[in-house]
Amino acid sequence: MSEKIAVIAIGGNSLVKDKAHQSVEDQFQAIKETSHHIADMIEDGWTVAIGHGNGPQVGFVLRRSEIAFKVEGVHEVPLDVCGADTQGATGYGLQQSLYNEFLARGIKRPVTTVITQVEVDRNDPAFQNPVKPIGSFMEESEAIERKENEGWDVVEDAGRGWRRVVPSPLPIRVVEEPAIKQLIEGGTCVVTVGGGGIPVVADDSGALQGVAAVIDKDYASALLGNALGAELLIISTAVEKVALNFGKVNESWLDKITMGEAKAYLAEGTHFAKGSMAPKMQAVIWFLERGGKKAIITNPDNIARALRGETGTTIVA
Amino acid sequence: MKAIVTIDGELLVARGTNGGLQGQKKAVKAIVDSLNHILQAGYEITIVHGNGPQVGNMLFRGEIASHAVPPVPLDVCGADTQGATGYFLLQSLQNLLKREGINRDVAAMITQVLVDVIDPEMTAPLKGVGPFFDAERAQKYNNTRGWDFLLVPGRGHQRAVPALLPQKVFEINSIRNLMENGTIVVCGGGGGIPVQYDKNGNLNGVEAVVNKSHTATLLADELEVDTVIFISEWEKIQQAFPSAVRNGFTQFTLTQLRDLIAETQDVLTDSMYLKLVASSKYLTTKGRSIWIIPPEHIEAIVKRDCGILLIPDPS
Repeated sequence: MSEKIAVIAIGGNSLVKDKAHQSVEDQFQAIKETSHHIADMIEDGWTVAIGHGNGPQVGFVLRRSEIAFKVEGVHEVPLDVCGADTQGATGYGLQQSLYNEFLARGIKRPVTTVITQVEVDRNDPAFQNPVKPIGSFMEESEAIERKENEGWDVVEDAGRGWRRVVPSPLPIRVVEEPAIKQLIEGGTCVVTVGGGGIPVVADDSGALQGVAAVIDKDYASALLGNALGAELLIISTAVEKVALNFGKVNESWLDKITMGEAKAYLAEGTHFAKGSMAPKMQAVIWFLERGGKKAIITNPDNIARALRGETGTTIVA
Repeated sequence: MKAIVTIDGELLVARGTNGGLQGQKKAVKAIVDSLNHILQAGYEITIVHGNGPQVGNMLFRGEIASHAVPPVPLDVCGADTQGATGYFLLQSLQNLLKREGINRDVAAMITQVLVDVIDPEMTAPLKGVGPFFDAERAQKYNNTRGWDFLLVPGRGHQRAVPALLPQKVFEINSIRNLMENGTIVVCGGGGGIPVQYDKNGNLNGVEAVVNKSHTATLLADELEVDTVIFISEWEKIQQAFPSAVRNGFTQFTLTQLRDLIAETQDVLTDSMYLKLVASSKYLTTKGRSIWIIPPEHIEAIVKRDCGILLIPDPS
């Protein structure tokens, strides 16, 4: 069953629609809608590994942790454990709603969630330059105390207060790759690399330990795709298509481009927003350079249409 | 030899600490390192763990922060702890195997278990979960959230949810697939996430707790594993088996076990009582065995010099 493998990366934001829909029940409803579109693909014969973001979800876990610590002195949840928590909860939601979709359609496929660590290089230059803000704003005094006592990197954010920042190193290995591969080869739909994976580093002996960092989930999904020999990577995001000169008067939507064109557009530096579409395009390029055949960037509603070539932005090797 | 290893949630929290996550990591590492004895002896293990203290902490945090962040339903708390405790176990096992040069993969999997609505065990005693409230707050949550409460003398009102028996493990094929390939699978955390079919035939989470000992023996049944190892604190073992000694193992047949349950059930913790009930059901098939062993004596399973061994009745 391993001939048609796809990795789909779902945005964490697409599971939290807006401020009025942040409850777990609302998130599960959004997961259900996305699962419907994924089931379409599976019905078409794809074996699918699903990566998902966890930005808003980690935000919730951290906020609960911060408040409970301040009010009642309850021990705090470290960032790697926040990631593991959200892999469990979002994985459960996806796995249950996919199970229900399969049941309704008579699809005989197991679906499972694998808690996934992703190794990063402890010498990754990102560790010298932590830039990803996480958690709530703090008073300066708390920021200084956390820096001194807990080694946090903190920055002042233009008048809004102080925030913790963590590095965003590149993923180099999906630690649970053998198990994921085994399941995928048996035709199982696997939810994995949630939030880009729990970031871990190896010491000289190869022993792993968690680090306070965040990994780009599209980069991790691309890496996973190559490890599984996937031919297709789908990045599911907020927009139907990718635009050149996004948000400018000369904005133009892309239907189908080659990897070479994608590289050239990315190199121009003006088309894709930093921290948004630019890393998605980079993930696509890496995936195609390392053996992937095709990548699609679109929103969840249009996955099936994009696969038929009717919409979305397709990038080919 | 294949075995299901079941670890109590309390053992995964460092004693004498505030239950902090760094302490949990250390406690997990200590237990996992002691599993080296049976791994070296050639046991192929699948791991089930409890999550009582971990879910308790989550519910407490969620309650304190409920004015600012949406609360987490109990089934999702279970999923969270399967993620976090699964991660600790996973990493400690990988590091142990690497250190010992054992070439084996490890995977932690989110596991749902079916709890049948019409099962008579639905009416079994309710179990208290999460923080304690005063009468006024308990009444309020009874009205607004439909929660039931138990009054725990001296501590207050605690939310009460049904303690249910697991009927089926949904992810069993994936677990078997990995296990047959030699992978150590961490699954059924907290007994599994309890789910039921609604009237439309859709699976949904249930606000309940599932007993992990029954999940462990259910997994053993379905995976055709003949040994279940329960790791539990020595004091609790001694309560259940007053004749147990630290410097020798004690063996009981199924009939002896049933007699013992009848004698001691009033003094046992829920957790130990359910271990023994699950064991007595499991041991009705020949060739099976159950070990109940404290974490500091896991090597006794190989050396046979401590712990409790339960076996079926001789024919």
